[in-house]
Amino acid sequence: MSADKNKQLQAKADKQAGRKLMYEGHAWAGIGLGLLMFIVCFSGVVALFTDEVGLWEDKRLRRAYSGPEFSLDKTVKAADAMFEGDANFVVAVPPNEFYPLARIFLRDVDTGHSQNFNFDPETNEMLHTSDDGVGHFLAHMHTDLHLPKPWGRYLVGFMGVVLMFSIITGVIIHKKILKELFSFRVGRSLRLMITDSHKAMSVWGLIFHAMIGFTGALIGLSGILLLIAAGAAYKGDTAAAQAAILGTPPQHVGEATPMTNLDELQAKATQMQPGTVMETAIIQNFGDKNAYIEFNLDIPNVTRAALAPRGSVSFHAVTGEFLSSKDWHASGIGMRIYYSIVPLHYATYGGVALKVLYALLGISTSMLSISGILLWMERRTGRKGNEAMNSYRWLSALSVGVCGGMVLATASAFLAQHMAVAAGYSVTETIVGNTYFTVWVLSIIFAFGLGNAYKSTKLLLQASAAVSILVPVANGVLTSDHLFKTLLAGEWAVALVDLTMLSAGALLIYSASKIPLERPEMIRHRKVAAQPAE
Amino acid sequence: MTAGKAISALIGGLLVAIFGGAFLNIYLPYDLAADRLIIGAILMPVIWSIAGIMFCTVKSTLKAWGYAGLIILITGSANAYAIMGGAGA
Repeated sequence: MSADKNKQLQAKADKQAGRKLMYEGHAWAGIGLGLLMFIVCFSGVVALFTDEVGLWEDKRLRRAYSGPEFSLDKTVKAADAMFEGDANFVVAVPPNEFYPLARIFLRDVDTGHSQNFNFDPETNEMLHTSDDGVGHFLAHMHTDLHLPKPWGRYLVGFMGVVLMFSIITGVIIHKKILKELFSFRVGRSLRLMITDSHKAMSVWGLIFHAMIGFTGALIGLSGILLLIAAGAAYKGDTAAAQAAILGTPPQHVGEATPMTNLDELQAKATQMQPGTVMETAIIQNFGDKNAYIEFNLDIPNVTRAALAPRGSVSFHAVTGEFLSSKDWHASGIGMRIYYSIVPLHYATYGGVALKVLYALLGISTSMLSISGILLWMERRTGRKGNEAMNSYRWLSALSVGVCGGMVLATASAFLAQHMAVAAGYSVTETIVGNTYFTVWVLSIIFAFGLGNAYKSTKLLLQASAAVSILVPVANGVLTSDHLFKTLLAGEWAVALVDLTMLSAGALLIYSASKIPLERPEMIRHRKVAAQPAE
Repeated sequence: MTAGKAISALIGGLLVAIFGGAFLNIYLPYDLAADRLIIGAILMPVIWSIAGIMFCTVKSTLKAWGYAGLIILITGSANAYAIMGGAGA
């Protein structure tokens, strides 16, 4: 009997020790990489709206969506004539409800040089290249952290793995997940509020956090993953592995030859898969005697409402000869997953409402890192001793500077965009980038200099709110496209950016109003000390 | 938790993911090579996370390396057998 009891006690102790180790793993991942996680997640929220910001940042690109029709042939050939270099890879995207312009992307595969061209779909006139500006800058921040390629992308992908690790350990260490869904104790201590917020945000957004970590890891690490797959299944032959997934690419002949009429090929492709429209067109070996064009097709009206395109049709782009037709929905599960990863990560499959939902959930993913760090710090400050207080001070200053500073830097980058255009700069990315990093670094220095995490958070949030509200005002004054005008003209993308900045400003003012100027315990201690001794 | 354990979880987890993922790339029971490649590749980050958790939960880091080594040995041998022409794509 006693032996049984001892066994039970031992099993219970082992279980608790295992849970403690898991908790420590969760805390280690959060404290060690929490700030980087915030940077990746917060920049990801902004990157969701890259298309909309692209239209917002340049007045010349603004117009209402008038349908997907445009001339593929004229726009591709016009873009090629303007391309600085020898383009041999082309991607064409027709106008859609998120971006009402035709986009032609050209790349010189040999030098790596690429350019994006925007065309008016009605006149086929080139409006602007969109390789610079705040939208491009902030999207690059999310995908590569502005680090050298491919290391930035690998680091972002690794953060996806860390997010999955944190989610799995978090689920295991929290025994009462269902109870935590509805547990939010208002008006109690700060530590309880942070604990409840952390758990509620984790549990309510669990599926989203897991999906975003998983797809992010795949997108970021796809280069390495393909290398491993090629190493194992194709004896290191990456090209063979790529061919197994995407088909064998056409051989480059090296003889310059004009392309056939691409509009006719587009019409043929949609006839071959009736009831479909072009989603993208990809031309390999463009300008070469052996050029191929592949049309990715989808059903109209649900374009971008399906995760993977319906199918594709390929032609020889010089002779017009039919090469192949594929129905992705009828092929293997692997291809459907492959085509679903990017739309799933960037919310390009369900309209503006879905993007807004993604943004809200993405903010909650970002807030998980901050609440996790705060929780860890609050627990440590409960312990006595100088070491705990010192680590509290520097970690809180760093967290406030990095996270609060990033919000302020992002809002400032939007403002800098319009200021740079108003000042007559044609290429704005350098100014936007300099503003962004200067504001961010100054915010970190400010947080360390002030030495009071509460006060610096409050001030940084107030500054971010002021700049966020200034952004739509500057847009209205400098481009004369104020919010009411864009709403009435049906320029939803531009209106959405202005509305988002105004809402963010209001939210930041509210959040700042709820933060005390110093640690509540300090205020309480001072009050107690100030009371006259009886 | 020690720094050694955290680093072991990171590196050991990655090694298990590489060998385990490669194993799936070869042996997953799909007819199409593309399916094996894609599903094997997408499971690698998941294996990395779970193997990392294994390193955190097993009390002794040495014992955790033992388990990881065993998985690497089994999957690595199977992969080597396939690469040398025994099986797989």
